[in-house]
Amino acid sequence: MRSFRCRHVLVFMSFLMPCGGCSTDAGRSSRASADTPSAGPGVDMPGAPGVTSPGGVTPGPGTTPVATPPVPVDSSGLTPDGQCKPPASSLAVRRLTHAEYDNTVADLLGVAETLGRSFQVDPTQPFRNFSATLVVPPILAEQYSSAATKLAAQVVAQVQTLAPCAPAATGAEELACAEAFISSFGKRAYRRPIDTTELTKFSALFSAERARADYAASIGYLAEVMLQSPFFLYKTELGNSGLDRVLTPYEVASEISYLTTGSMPDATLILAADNNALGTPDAIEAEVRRLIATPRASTWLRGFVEEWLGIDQVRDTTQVPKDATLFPAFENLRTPIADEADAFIDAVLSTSNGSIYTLFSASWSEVNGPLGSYYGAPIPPAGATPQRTDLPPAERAGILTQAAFLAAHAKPGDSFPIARGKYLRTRVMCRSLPPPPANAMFQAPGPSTILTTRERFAQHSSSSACASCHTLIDPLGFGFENYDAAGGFRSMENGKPVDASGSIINVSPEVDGPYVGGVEFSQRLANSQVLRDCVTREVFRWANGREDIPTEACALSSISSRMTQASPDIREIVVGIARSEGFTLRSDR
Amino acid sequence: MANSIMKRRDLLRTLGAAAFLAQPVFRDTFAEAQPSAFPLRFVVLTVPGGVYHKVSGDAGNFGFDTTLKSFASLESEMLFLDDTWNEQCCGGAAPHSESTASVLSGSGPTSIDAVVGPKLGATVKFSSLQFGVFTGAPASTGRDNTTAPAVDEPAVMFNRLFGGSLPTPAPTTTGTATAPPAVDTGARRRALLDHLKGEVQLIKQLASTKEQQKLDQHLTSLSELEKQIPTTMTGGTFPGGGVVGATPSVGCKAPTSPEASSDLPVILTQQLDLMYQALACDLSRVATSQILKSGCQSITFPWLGVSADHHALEHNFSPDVDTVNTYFFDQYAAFVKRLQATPEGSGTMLDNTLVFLTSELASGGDHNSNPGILATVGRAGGGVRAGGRRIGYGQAPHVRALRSIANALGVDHEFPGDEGGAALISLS
Repeated sequence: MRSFRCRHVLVFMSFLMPCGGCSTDAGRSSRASADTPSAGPGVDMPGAPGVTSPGGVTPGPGTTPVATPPVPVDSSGLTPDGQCKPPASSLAVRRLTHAEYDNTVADLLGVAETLGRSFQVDPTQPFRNFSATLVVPPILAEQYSSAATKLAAQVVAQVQTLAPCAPAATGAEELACAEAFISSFGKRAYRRPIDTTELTKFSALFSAERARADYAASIGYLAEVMLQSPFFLYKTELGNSGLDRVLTPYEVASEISYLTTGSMPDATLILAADNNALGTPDAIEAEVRRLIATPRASTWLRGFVEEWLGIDQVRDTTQVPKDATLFPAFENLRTPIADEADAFIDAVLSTSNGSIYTLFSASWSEVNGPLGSYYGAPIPPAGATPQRTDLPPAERAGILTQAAFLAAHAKPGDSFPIARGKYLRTRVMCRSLPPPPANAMFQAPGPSTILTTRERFAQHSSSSACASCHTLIDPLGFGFENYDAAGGFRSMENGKPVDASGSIINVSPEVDGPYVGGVEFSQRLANSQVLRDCVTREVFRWANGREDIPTEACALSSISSRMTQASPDIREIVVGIARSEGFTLRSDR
Repeated sequence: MANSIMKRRDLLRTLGAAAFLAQPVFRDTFAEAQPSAFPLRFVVLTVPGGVYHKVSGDAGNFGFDTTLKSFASLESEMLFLDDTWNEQCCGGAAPHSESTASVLSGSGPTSIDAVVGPKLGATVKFSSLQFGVFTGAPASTGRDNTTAPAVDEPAVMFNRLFGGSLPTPAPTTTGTATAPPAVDTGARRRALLDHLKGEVQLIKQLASTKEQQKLDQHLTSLSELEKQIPTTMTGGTFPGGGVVGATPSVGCKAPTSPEASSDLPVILTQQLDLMYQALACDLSRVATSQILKSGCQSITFPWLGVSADHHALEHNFSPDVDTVNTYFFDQYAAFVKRLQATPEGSGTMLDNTLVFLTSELASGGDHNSNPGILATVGRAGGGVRAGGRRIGYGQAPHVRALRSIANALGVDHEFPGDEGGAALISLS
């Protein structure tokens, strides 16, 4: 299905840092509207005493049913004796993203449906799985409903396998067959056992439908219900009762599975949950390592990298439009450019030990013939399939210098250094920017056939009272001026030599200072703690579907330290997150 | 400077009021002539990125500037809700990419279409419908998720309105709507939805307060599905199963499926046609239309000879902003005139409708959050008295005007930023 979206200015910031000097319109100023970090855990409300999680599960080891007072911690999450104890995050239900929905349906029914792709588009920033935005408006409820009707037909087609029953079964025998289906299929759909109350309700639904339809259709009806159930559509992080809660073994299994593969737990994980064998960090790590080695985990993690770097929509002409007059070659290269990103990230994960260093500095990439020529590769490959190819070392090094990133962070006809600089600062180096002041007067420079892009934007920043903020952004983007809006390399623009000198300012002494060109920037960043810390934070946000909070700083630091200069494997971040206390603890405080 | 403008406006308003009193031509007896025999409807039409209030003069003597000129012939049906301040809404640069939802909700959890939808749309298939044209996904967490998202694909909207994703009554053979056949799919679907609601309630009991709103929204959505069960509809069907609401107007025609297109003019035309059909066939009585999204950088306007994107046009203070906005308002005026051209009783569909025109900023280029256009067209079945007037809000938050509108539709609602019982400014 077509999916039209209007790509618009993204104003995304989390933490604030002082950055003054911008004047505002005189007269009435509206509220500062400073984005604050997302609310910390624990909007207070007592739980619902007496209500227990459905599914009849036993709590995992380590459960503390008696409430203990929260441990006091400092602003980075450290206790007075120096232990890292970030407060547990609050109980949550997280709706599946449409990609998770498709993966789950495929695993549950063994069919390759991609119905989720045509669902109402979810918010994309900062990650598609941010829980607060994943709701079920009427349009989506309708789409879930019609999808469930279609998928139920698949269940009916497989009824002999999923809900076998003798052709001449009596009513009581049929009900027994249906109950077996409810327990087996339901456990997979709900990712936990169906409890007796639920079994009774489903049995009643079956019997009522059986009075209207035949056996197979009545089984299909049960599937239609389950596929719209909130227990199917949401990942629950509710644990058992009490203020301090440990996720149930089945919830832990789902956490592991969706984190690593974006889908429902496999049989091995469910068995581990059945055996209550996911109660220790070591046990969790073993399952995470088992799954993270699979190709589907690699694909899922690649999805993270592409969302993080804002290159997941390069295939979409409305999301990353290019001016066909200025860049006539781009449309034919759009698919190779997107394929390159996929293949390059896959190669880093599979053959370069998930090295963030390689991701950001490789002198090679995975390009096909036309794209290799576009890059001016010394020996471009033949054919339409991406192949590992050395690129001109003075022009390309790692993913920030590849066309996907460069084209995604540019306008249709303009390299737009401001947007590039802002993305590099906020998402690649995880440094904050305050929001523009209310009623900021600014005028973007129009196109020019005389000035270089840099000259146009330099005028803009130097003439503006907002320069004190833009000095943190613009020089970052200016350093990438050798790359046009379509990711091509340029040394001249409008008859003038391109000035690609840039500067990293107020990030960290480790990386601060002038640089020239995207290659020097990438090489400096690739080996830095700044990058390792930032990718850790971004994986953490993606893994949790929410912003990190200040008191999680110590946990982030600990997870980041699993990556070293010698072995900066981003998959270790996933392992570290799964091992952390916060992975299984929740609070209803 | 602002003060001098205000004073001048006040003066004009005073003079205009006198002019208005002297005008005998306005029909202001509609309320008596039309009891509630026809559906009361509400339509929101928004344009992106800000439009200055570009109507000069006062009652009976409005001067419509280029952008709004296609509304000039609707003057006697219009109210201009003037002199509001959007402080709670969209001030400042940071939130402007989410601000269409903000302007309609006062940055609260409930936008005006959701405020009036449950009442106006209680007996029809959809409590409200949100039509979009290249609105895209909401940018970021927060505000947009509190408002029903706009649907950008005409084919999706067509299927929701007239298509067969849900069980529909057996088709009949004539070209017009007929009495509904007996349907027996209600029990099965109702049992399914009851079960789902019970499960959502169970999770709601277990989850933290933070999640309540999310789960409440899910419950509301399930109730909406319940309303779509064909047995609850009484208006009949078209051949092929398209269901018609209880009180279709003469404008309700057998629908045709929209052809796929990626051109904005085609999509906008299709969406406005579907919106008209949804209202005329009484499938919904509340609808919103949103074109683009503030800050949109990917859509250009080649059919207008404008090759820059909307965001660039705004920030360059380009005269082409007017070219684009004029185009949008022309399409909207044509939609409103279609309502006006559809007889309903002794009046027209427009008489039973209130159309609300707005934009989230006064101008996008400087993120000016002084009032963008706030205007209504139509008489809300008598809830709005006559037209051709300005109503002053004395720099009150713009949500006070939303409250006036909701009241004209029979619903009182104080929006965030204006709670506390400020006197209601009535449109009647």
